[in-house]
Amino acid sequence: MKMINYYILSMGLTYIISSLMFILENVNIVKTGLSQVTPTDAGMALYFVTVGTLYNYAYFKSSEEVFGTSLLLASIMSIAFMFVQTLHYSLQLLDLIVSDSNIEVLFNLMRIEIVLGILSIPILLKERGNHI
Amino acid sequence: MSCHELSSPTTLGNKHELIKVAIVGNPNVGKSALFNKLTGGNAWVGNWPGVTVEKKTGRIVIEGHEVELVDLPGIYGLTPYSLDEVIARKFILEERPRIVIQVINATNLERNLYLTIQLLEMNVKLIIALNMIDLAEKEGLEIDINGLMNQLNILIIPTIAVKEVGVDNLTKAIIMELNSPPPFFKINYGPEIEEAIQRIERILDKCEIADVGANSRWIAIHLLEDDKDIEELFRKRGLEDVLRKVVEIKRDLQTRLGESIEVLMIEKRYQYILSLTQKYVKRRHVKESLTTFTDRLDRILTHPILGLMIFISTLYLLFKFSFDVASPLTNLLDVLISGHVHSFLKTLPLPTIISSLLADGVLQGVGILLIFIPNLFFLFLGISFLEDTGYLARVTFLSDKWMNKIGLSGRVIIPLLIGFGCNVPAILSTRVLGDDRDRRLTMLIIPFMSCSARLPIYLLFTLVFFKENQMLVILSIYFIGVTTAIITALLFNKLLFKGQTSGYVMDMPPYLIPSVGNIFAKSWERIKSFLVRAGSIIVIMMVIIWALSIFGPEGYLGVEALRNPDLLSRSWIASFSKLIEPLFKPFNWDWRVISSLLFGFVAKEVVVSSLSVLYNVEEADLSTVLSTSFTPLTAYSLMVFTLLYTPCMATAATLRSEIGLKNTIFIIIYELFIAYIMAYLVLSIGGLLL
Repeated sequence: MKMINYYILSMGLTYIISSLMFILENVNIVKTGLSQVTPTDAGMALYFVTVGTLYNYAYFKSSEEVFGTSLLLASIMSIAFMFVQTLHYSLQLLDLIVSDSNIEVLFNLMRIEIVLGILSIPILLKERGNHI
Repeated sequence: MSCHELSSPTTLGNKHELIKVAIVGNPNVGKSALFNKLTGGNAWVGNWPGVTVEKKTGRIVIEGHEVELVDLPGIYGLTPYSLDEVIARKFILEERPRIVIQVINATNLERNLYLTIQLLEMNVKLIIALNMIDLAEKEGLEIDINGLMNQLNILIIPTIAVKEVGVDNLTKAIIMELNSPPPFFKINYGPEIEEAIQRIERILDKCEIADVGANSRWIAIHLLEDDKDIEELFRKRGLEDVLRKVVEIKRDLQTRLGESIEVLMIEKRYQYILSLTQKYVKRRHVKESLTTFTDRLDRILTHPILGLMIFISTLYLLFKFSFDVASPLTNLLDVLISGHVHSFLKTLPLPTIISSLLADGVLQGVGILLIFIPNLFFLFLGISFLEDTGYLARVTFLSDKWMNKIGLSGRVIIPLLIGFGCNVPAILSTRVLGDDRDRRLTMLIIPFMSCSARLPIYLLFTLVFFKENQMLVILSIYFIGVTTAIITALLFNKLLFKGQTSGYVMDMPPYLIPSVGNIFAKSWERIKSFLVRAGSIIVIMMVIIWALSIFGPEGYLGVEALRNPDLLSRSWIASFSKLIEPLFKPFNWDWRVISSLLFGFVAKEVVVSSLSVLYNVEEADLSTVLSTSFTPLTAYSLMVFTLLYTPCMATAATLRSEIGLKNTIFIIIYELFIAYIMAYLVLSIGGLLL
């Protein structure tokens, strides 16, 4: 049980830290240069904060009924974003055929939202069994 | 007029081979899913006559019989409180479908059976599709279907529409029911009300009212319930004397009962429903029911802070899905159409004017149409997904408080936000609103949401004149758009829709995993409707613009005019621009700016490129030319004008297909007027301040 709780906490913190890095970069406080692990725009940063909050909410309310529901929502949102971005970057490969886009677009498939989405799959599978 | 003078007997008989079947049901019972499974995607979407409520019709062949299925709007009853109820009842009464299929949510029999009772009172041939039977079992509900069937004397088919379970049995039931007599059904409303019903029936029996489409008992019941539509119908036929007698009977009854007749009748119906559910539905205990799961999710999804964060994040994801994901496909189509196909058409051994007509007129129109398809398809997939999960109802709940302040329901938030991406899908997405008033008002204000195509114009002018505060100036433009939309909504709510409220019931359906097939089917239906209805107008308009650019008062200028500023200055477009130039004198815009705004009607994206053609400079050098032709104030007023003036051609065509030509012209004129006034105000107030 402890392991699972730490897993949830680390997921939530990663989302929050990543969005904090975006804010710090955009107000010109720090230049991390880690574009692969930070949101690309303000909307995405808000998305990260929401998912991070839901994961952390689930962790801190682990003794209450709301725990499972919050975790289920967090994992669904995380995987949904992974799905949308994967589809987006995969379709971008189409541009390679018709334009001079760089093959580096492939690296986008290793962006943080896709990695975190994949890491959320076990949580969804576990919670799905409990709820649906 | 006396009762016997009534004529106009019905012409809607059963002579046609085509068997009309209506599908009714409460909202969120899986009606559309069942309709899609029954029609197998062979359906078309339109509007009900005179209103913007979506009408879906499909045709199938069952055992050699051609059957037309009509999906009626989701309703709770047949008393005409809402527009949806008016439409559904009117259809059943006037079109007289041979069979009515009522889709019932098996997990909520009590509420759904109210509509069943009202349909049975009309003596229509009814089949019940007891949908979501699997969920009812999960909820621990055991429904004695045979018992209920015998009690109500109708066919009840258990279905799971999303999994296509029971659909075959339902189609067989349609044929089985064709030749059976309509069921006889009667609720005992108690001795006093029954006596009043019989007295009214005796009066009605002397009238020829067969064309009303219902039996005299049903009419008598509805007259007792103060049904305004029925009363109006009687008035139109000069039957005031009948109404006067009914009023006397009602007054007498009211005195004897001491309570509202309508309330008592509703109570009687619910008592009957309760007796049915007590007899035929048993509930066993289950560990986690769907209701508790939904309640637990709602604790977070409708939470004032967490709920709002999830809502904004979901909208962001919907935007990303509709615009970002679709953009590579849009680019591909653009390259294919504007590049390869365009070049191919130009190389065809045809007279220059014909190949230009095909390449620069027809193909450009088709291109504008096709380029929208990926965006629209992804958007509708996203919206249908949210709709089918039950989340859209929560979005309504969250934004309702704010939207009510401007006289709209919470549901309009999604189309309005989509408008910032593109106005065309935003207008089409108003189809999920259902309410006619909400749809019209939302479509009126959507063009004020600054779509992404207008951004290049703001970027160009802010880069030249407001380099230091570029983002702030662009934000102010967006702010003006939203403010104008709010003022327009408030104004028209008071003027055009005075006294009308959306008055809808906020239904919170249980959360469900949607069916992929159903989501794709719904999205395809909406795309098909856009292609058919807006497509032809876009192509025709594009050809007209093309013709006005290569012809002028001197006659044919040559297709080179499309790219040659000297020739273009002699075209009809330029002549018209010069003609109306004095109107824009206060703004100091010359005919070239006006021409580019006229081209902006084709698509807002082309304003910048038209300016470069008309000023005879490369787009990169355009900023230098503009800095000498404009001042910061005239540039800002042009940006405000571009934000607010007529929607682009694709938006106008979509508007026309949704609300008709008259309303579209009204919107265009209204927006031109507002744009002119606002741009003038910017100049005047700015002139005083600077």
